[in-house]
This record gives sequence, C-alpha cells and structure tokens, in this order.
Amino acid sequence: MAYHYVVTAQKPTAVTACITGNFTSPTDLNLLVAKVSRLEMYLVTPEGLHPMKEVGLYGKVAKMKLFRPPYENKDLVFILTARYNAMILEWRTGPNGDLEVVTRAHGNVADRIGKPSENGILAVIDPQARVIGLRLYDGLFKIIPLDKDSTELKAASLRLEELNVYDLEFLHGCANPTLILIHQDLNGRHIKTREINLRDKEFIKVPWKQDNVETEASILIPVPSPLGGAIVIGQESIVYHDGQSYIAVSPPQIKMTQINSYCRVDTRGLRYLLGDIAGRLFMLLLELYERADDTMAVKDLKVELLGEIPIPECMTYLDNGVVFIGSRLGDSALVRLSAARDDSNQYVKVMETFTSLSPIVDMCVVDLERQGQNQLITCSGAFKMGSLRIIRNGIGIQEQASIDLPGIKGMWALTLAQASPYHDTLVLAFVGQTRVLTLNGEEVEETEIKGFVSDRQTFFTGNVSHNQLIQVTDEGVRLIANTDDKWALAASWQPGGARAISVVACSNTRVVPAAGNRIFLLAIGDRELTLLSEVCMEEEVACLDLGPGDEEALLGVGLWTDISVRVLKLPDLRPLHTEKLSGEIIPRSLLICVLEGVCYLLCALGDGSMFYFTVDPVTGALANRKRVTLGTQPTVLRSFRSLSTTNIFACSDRPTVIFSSNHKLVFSNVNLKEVTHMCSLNAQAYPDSLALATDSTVTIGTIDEIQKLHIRTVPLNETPRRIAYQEATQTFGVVTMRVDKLEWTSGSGSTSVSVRGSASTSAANISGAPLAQPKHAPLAQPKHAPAAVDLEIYNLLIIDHHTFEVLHAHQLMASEFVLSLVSCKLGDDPAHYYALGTAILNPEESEPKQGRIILFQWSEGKLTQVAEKEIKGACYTLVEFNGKLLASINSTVRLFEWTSDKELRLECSHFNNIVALYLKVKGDFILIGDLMRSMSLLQYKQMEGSFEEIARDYSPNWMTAIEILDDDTFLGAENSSNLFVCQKDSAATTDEERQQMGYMGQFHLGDMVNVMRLGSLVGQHADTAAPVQNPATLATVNGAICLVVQLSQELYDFLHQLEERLTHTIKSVGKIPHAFWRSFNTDIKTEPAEGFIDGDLIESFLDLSREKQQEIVQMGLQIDDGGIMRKATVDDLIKIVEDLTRIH
Amino acid sequence: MSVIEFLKDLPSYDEHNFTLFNTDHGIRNCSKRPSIYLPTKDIDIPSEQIIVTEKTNILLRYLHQQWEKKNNSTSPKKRDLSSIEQNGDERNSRKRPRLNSPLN
Repeated sequence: MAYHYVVTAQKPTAVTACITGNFTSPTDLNLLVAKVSRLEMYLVTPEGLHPMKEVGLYGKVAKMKLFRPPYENKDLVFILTARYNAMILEWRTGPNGDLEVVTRAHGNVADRIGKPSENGILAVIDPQARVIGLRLYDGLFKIIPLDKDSTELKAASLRLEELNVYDLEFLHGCANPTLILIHQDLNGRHIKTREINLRDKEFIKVPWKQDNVETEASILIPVPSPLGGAIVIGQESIVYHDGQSYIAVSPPQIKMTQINSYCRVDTRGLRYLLGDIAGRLFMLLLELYERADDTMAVKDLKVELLGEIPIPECMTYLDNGVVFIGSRLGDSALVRLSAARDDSNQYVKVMETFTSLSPIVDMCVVDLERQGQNQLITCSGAFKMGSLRIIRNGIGIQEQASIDLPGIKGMWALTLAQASPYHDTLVLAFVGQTRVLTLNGEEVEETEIKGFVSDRQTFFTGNVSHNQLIQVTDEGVRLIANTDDKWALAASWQPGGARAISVVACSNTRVVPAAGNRIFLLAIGDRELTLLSEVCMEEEVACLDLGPGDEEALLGVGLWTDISVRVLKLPDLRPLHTEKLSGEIIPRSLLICVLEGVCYLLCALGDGSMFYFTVDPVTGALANRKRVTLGTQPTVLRSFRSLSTTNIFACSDRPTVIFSSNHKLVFSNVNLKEVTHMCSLNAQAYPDSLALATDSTVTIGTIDEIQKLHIRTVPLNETPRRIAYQEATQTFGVVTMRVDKLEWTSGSGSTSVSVRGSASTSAANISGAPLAQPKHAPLAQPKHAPAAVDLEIYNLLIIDHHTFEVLHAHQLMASEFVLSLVSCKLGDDPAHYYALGTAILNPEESEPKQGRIILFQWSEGKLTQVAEKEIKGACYTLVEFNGKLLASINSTVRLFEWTSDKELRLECSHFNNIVALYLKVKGDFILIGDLMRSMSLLQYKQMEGSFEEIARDYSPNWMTAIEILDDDTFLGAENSSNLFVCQKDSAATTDEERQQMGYMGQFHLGDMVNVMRLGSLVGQHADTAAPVQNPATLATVNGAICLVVQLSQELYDFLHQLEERLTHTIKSVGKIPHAFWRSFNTDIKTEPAEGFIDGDLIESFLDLSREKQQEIVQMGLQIDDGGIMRKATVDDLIKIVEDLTRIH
Repeated sequence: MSVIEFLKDLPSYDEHNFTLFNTDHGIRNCSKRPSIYLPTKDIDIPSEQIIVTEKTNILLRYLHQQWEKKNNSTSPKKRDLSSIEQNGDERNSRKRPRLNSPLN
C-alpha cells in the first residue's frame, strides 16, 4: 500500500475573474479577484489596493458575478464552481471587527442528464436582481428566481431552442427579465431576445431578434437604461442593437485579433474598455443624439486603441482611471488610463504588477548555487508575456560589496555625521580588538573614533539618546559624546568586583551589562551613566536582550547551568517569569521582539536549536513554547528591518531569516553558506542593506523581499515550451515559440516579420532557418486570405545559467514544431548534447507523419548540429536512458543507440499506445503516459535488446503528467484535475494480476498538472523532521506548485484522523463538503478520495485559535510516544504540522 | 474625435483613490498578500437559503402547464369544483396520483 501527502507550495496565480463593487461595506470600494479556487478581497485606497482577506473555496470558480438585491445596501457575489456548486456570498464585518464571509445561499445545480455545453458555463444575473440565469447544458437554461423570503431558492430548467449559444446576457430596463443571446445554426450566428415568465417558468415571447450578425460574434454587452439594448462584439465589427435601431461599425484597429474581455467604464454605459488576445486595450464610446421625443439614442460607435496591457482574461474599472487587468498568461496588472500620452505613445500605463507563474508548461529542478538547495526554473506565461521564472525557497542576498576580514566577532553600523538618516560607519569586533570602517560612498576605509577603545573586543556599540555613542567592552561601558563635531569620551562605568562584563543589552536610553551572575541597569543620560539597579541571578548570565518599552521594558535573560530563561521587568529588574529549557545545551543568544503585533522571545542554544515563546507584555509570562532546529552550530539572533517590517536573522551554519506571516513565524533559508554575525546597514551607497560576516569576509548586500518562496522573472517575450539544464556547459536549453506575421507584399510573395523584439530575435548569436520564405507557405496571396497570417516559429535558445543571458538562438523551419528537449550524454561519447524532438506539421494530416530528432552541442560559445534523424511522427518526449536516447514518437516508444559514427540507430520499439505523450525512466523501467490509456510500465531487456510490457492501468485516463515515485509506485495526473497513484504488484500470483497496476490512491487536486519532477525546493540538508520521503514537485496550468511526498501508514492514519476532524471544525465557505471537493471526478466517474492526505487542510490547523486546536485534540487523537500510545496534546499536533510545513 | 475625449471625465467614486500611489520606483510589484480567512463557526443568519433544483421533468411540467391552460380555458373554475362535488370523493377517480414517483 502507498500513502501520500499533497500540499500546495505556491497557490494558483492565474486570475480567472475580477469584479469591482461595494462588498465589505456600503461605502467601501472593493476589488474581488478569483484565482481558480481562491478569492482575494482588496480595498481601493488612496495608496492603491489594500489586501483584506483571502478565502479558499472547495471548488474551482467557473463564474463569478456581482449583484445587488433592491433590499441590500451593498453588493453580493454569486459564484458557480466548475462542479456546479452555486453560492451567494456576502462579506461583512463581524462583532469583533474581523471581516467574515457569510454564505447566504448555496446548493448544487447539476442535472443528472444533459450534455455540458462545449462553449462552457454561462451565468448571468438580471440587472434588477430578480433571477439568476445559467446555461450549463446544451438546450437548457436554468433559472434561479431570487426570492428573499423563502428558505429555498427553486431552480428550474427551461427549454432553450437555441442549442449552440455563444454568449447571453439580461437586457436592462425590461418589465420581465429578458435575455439576449448569440447563437449559431447552419446559416450563421444570430442574436435573439427572449422574455422570461418567472411565475410559469417559461419563455413567453421573442421581443426582437436579428439574424445573421457577424460569423465570429462572441461577446454581448448589455447597455444600461435608459438606452438599453446591447452591443455585439465580433471579430471585425461592433454592433449596437436595441430592437429598433441597428448601428454597425467595423473599426480597422480591431480586425487583427479577437476581443476576449471587456468592462464598463461609466454607469450610464457610454464607455467600455475592450481587451484583445494580443494584449491591446481599446475604448469603445457610444455617441448619442437626441430624438424628436427628447430621448437619447445611439448615433455612432467609436473605437480607439489606448495601448498595451497584459493579455487579459478579465478586466474591471476601479476608480479615477485605474483598471485591474486579470491574466491567465502572465502577470496581472493595475493600469492607469490617462489622456496624456507617455514616452511610448500609450494612453495606458502599468502601475503595479501581480506576479503569476501561469501557465507553467515545463520546469526543471536544479541546485544552481550548489548549496544542496534546489531551485525551480519554470517555463511560464505565453506570447509576449512568456518568461522563465526562477523559484527559490528562501531569501536571497544580492551581494553589493565584500571585504576580506577574518575572525569577526561582532558588527554594528553607526551614524557619526550629524542629523544624517544614513549609517556611515561600521564597527567590527575581533578577539582583543575593535576596528572602525568609514563608508565613504562606495569606498570603505579604516578610521578611528576618538573615545573608542580599539584594543579590546567590543560587545556592543550603537547610537543612543542625546546624540551619543555607546561602546561596551569587557572592562566597562563608555559613553562618547559629540562637541563641535568632535567625539570624546563623556562618561564611563565599570562593574565592581572581579568579573568582567560578558554580555550586554542596550536600548536608546538604557544599557544592561551583565558580569558573571550580576545584572546592572544603567540609564543613559546626557554625558552621564547612572546605575539604576542591580540584581544577582542564581547562575551566570549567558545571554540577554531588552524588549521594547524603553524605561519599563522587559529583559530576557538566559542562564548557564540551570539552562533557563528568565523574564525581568525594568526599572527594578523584578523577576516575572522563569522557564526551564530542557536539555543540557546552554542558551547562546536571546532576542525579544514584536512581529506583527505579537511579542516573541527567542532563545538559540549552542547546538543550533532554538526555543521560542510568545510573551505577555504585561505579566512577562512565556507561552506557546516551541522548539526548532536551525543549524548545527551556536546561533546568533539579530533583528533587522527590511521594507518597514522587523525580521530576525539567525546567524549560523545554516543562516535563516525568521519573519511573521499571517501571525505565524516562518523560517526561511538564506542563499549563503554560513553567517557568523550580521547587522542592518542603511548607508547612502548601500541603502536598506545588510552587512553579513562569515569566517573570512564581510559582505554588504540587499535582501529580497521577505517571503517564503522567492520568484525571479527572466522575460523572454515569447512562449517558452521546454527547458533542460546542462550542468557540464553551465547552460539551459530552452525551446520557445515566437509568433511572426506572414505578410504578402505585391509581387514579391510572402515574408515573415517578427512582431516585436523577443529573446530569439535579440540573442547574441542566431543560426538556423532564415526568417524569410517558409517552406510550406504558398507563394502568392490567396484571394480571400487576411492581410497577415500568424506563423509559429520555434527556436532553441542557449541561456547562461548565471546571467540568464540568451547566448544563442537556433531557429527551426516554419512548419517544424519542437515538442521535446533533453540534455544527454550518450554511449561512450564524452560530449553533452541537447537533443531536440520535433514534428513537421501539415494541416491536412490528422496526426504528424514526419519529424526529426536533432542533436546539438554547445561548446566554446558555439552551437553545432551534431546529428539529425528523420522519424515518422511527432517526437513528444525524449529521455536519456542507459546512455541511449529514448523517444516517444506518436504511438510508439523507441530506443536509439548512439553509434561511434555519431549517428542515432534504432535499437528497439514498443507499440501499444494511442499517443505516447510522456516517458519517465528508472533503472531498466520505463513508465509511459498515454493520451487516453493511462499509464503502462515497460522493462528494457538489455541482453535481448527489447522492451517488455510489465504492467498497465486499464482505466481510461487522459494523462497530463507522470512520475516514478519509487520502484513500484507511479504518480499520474489526468486532465480532469485529478491525481492518482498506481502500484505494480510483482508478488502477485498470476500473470494476469501482475499485468494490472492497482490503484493505491486518488485525489482531486483541482488544477491541471502540466509537469512533474522528482525533488523538492527544500534543501537536502535542511532539518525536515517530518518523516516523509520521495518528494515530487508538480506544476500546474494555473501557476500552482504542489508537492507530493510519501508517508508511513502510521502517519497517514494519524493525519487522516486529523483531516477528518478539521473538516468538521473548519466551515466551508459556500458549504461545499471537503469530501466532495477532493473526490476523484471525471466525466465518467466520481469516487471518494483515498490514499492522499490534503496537506492544505492539515496546515490550516496552525491558523486555528488555541481553543479550536484544543477542541480537535479533545476528540481523542493518539500518538506513538516511544512505543507507547498516548493522547496527543495541542503541542504535539503543532509540532507535527509545523514539521510538515517545512517540507515545502 | 481625439482620444482625449474618450478619456476625459473618467468616473470617480472617491477622488482620493490612487492619488497617493507611489510610482517613483517605476512599476511596483505587489507582494502583500491578504490574510487568510478560516471560518470555524457557522455564522447564523436567519435568511440562509438552499438552492434546490426543481425535480419535475421539463416535458412533464410543460404538459401539466398545457393541460391546466386547456382546462382553464374550456371549463370555468366553477365546473371544476362542481365536478369534484359530483364525484364526491376524489379517491373514486380512476386515476390516482402516483406516490412513488419514478422522478425522485
């Protein structure tokens, strides 16, 4: 049996719908964005969009519509999921001031019979909020009358004569709800209106219709009253029709590409924004005239191109000329319209972008920095928004400068210049000495500060009150003041007795040195140091820190010998709390700080582990004790500020940044091998930076934005399709597709013209097929062909693995599509090659009959074609296999040998597939993912040189990705967004049983997986206490990244119980049951999920309040504690779940 | 007609919105994410509604409607009542309503 855990590392980023409305209060202006199964609510403010709340749904949002019933003073949202769960949601502020989401109505509107429409789900709401209309199945129109007073909303189906409906809307200003629709029959497309009788639940009449509108008409825009009527958007024309008047225009600007989204600008409905699939924004304006009876009517339609935007999926007008553009093909954006053109002649300007990885088409998992920490490089986005994304778990430091200085024991930044906001000095402590560096622009030079001792190790220095500096060494505290721009010692203090100062904490007005077991509190006055109090601890002080609150701050103290943490209160150093730490390792560094309004005490021990607590700021009591392992060496904790939030840097052999997200502490790796000390540095030449010391160097660098997953974008401006990493040449091979325009010029035939600059046209070197004259294009322009035809041009790009600069672009023939790419080393040949698998497409053939496998070598800055093999079909996948090249070509799997003459020679083939789309190999085994026949397993017989089919899953699954998790376990993803696990059973008694792969798990992921790779983003050395193995990373069409790991049966059973309890505790917004959401669902079957744990649900345990966590525990969960079963406590559960969160 | 006319007097809900948007550093990248809403209590609202689909077959509903229309037009309501009265008990009718409807 196999048990799996699936968890989302990066939530889907594709925007599927967006609306503007007054959702959270009657006066708030909100933006609601749907990202597949998540809803994000934003508030529009003078500073921009302010994020409010994110809500997860147990379903994919298919349609999201706003409406406002007459009795409401704010807007409600109607949502229909892809599995036909309907809901009406309201956002409201709860009694404690928190935003909450109320499910006002819910229910499933699926029918047991009916053919789901090929044009997708359509949902519309009557402008007067009388009825919701749904077109789910061909020939049926479902209405949900909105009746305020009944407990049931009775949906009913109406027969719709028009089978092939492309769009429908409710018209404004009609006595009865009236639909307008575009439908197609044998004669073309037509528009028709239909009035609905809500009482009798039937269509009563056709108020007006218009036959034969444009053949590509696809969008209806209802125009608000008093004008009424609707706008019909076609490929080449725009029509306004209201039953009486018919105004049509065909603006030349829109002819090139199809318009796919729109939004209304003004409430009267005179202006609309239109977006096309090339990412251009237009404005449509209705020009009016006054009729004889004083009413206004539409006179003309005007269209103007405003500029370039992200390729839209949806758009919505916010306020003051600002529009949100939601995209599925790249980053979404906030854009501003302005009548003044900018430098690039655009009336639209991008203000803010929202990072999106979707669609992830391919990726590779690479340890680029060779630190045992993987990065993902994804092929993301499409067309002009195509890019590579470098995704890293953890936080990157971009090095700005470095100085070789070994043996640093401490480091602080000071400001010596008067009234300067910048640091200008760096003080470095060494054993027995202190050195001062001046930062003069980008130059660094050594200097001295008068009054500073330089022949002792500094324990602390900093700018303190009254414009003074403080320096603490083992002999005492020195206060250095400034007179007429000269620094001089103003006061000093020594501890009495034999013991020297060993540790110190300091705030702006207080300094707390400790010598042995004595702690002193000194006030920092103007040129004076005053001893305020002194206490004697039971044991020697190992570390201490002052919390916020200055004169009445809390003091945290870690002690030797009894290994405890004490909390004292200033000014009298009154003990408030004692917390024993278990074990024998002494505390080495302690920090009290406030993150997201919560006060924490963190105490790092000598073995690299760390305890952390929340601190009650009044009573000093420590609570919620947790322990985590950060490294293996003594750890130094320092707080720093980055982009106005406080964060913690844990300096050790595995440097970690600790920050608070959603009121939880998150631990994030840093891309440095080792850091011994650090401090914030905000110098003029190095603003908002960090100074980091290792054993040998000081590095000044800037830090990435504080977040767990870090994403860097390398824009390509064309569609990336495949990526492969070649370590030997330190390059990536990337297959891209560029769309050129084929233009006919009179007399000289056709030429292809690239539309915009992109990676393949601006590469350092270009080779391959020339840009002009595609092989299969006709010479003369056909009579009725459009003036320009899109041409898909494939390129192989060679990209440097550090700079991501495009070193070379090799262009293929115009009709040749590259489908696969692999970096391989074949036979005894020492060279590394990029192997490319292609298909030559001929529009008349149902499947490709021709293709090529081409081998390239990149060496010494040159790309050379080494070999070429003609094949009879499309090469969907290439894999290196036992030093040979394994290819799937149409329905076959073929193995090619690399001969000494540098030729590919066919060794053996396997034929038992419809289309063999995917291949994965392990040892002698080959896993095949078929277009529609699920997965099968082959064994390669080396001696015989042949393939043998070992086992097969006989279910009809349409595969989208496969992976071999271990020798017997195979993970598959299919095109209805499900995952399943098959296992081969070598121990079965009969041949028949052995030949059948058994189902070991199935799960609805809710997103289509495009690619699976073994490995995870978390470093191999990182402390993953969670007992999981064989991670596989999955990337989806909507830009999500998920992780699947294997679990032991015990952990699976335990988590399964926890999951079950969580489904009761956590209420589903929209009331869709969790079991329904995760059930394996295809067109032909729906079966309950099994063999998988929903990690997203498990992780939400950490977001619950302590009381709720307690409730879950009280339901009786047993854990194994050293062989004895006992009742789990809340802390046990938190530990288990937190460990699981660290696997991604 | 110039673009200026297209873009003049764009609607404004609150004229302050987006006025303090900082674009000094070029295009901003939004990194702030909204906090996650995790409901643990059922919010009691008296007006919660369940969406149910009418189970009657679309054809049967049509036939019923037609039948009613026909009855209503050919025989006034009075006679309807009187016919029931004449028949006395409804149960005497040869056709009885099916209780175990095959359509759920």
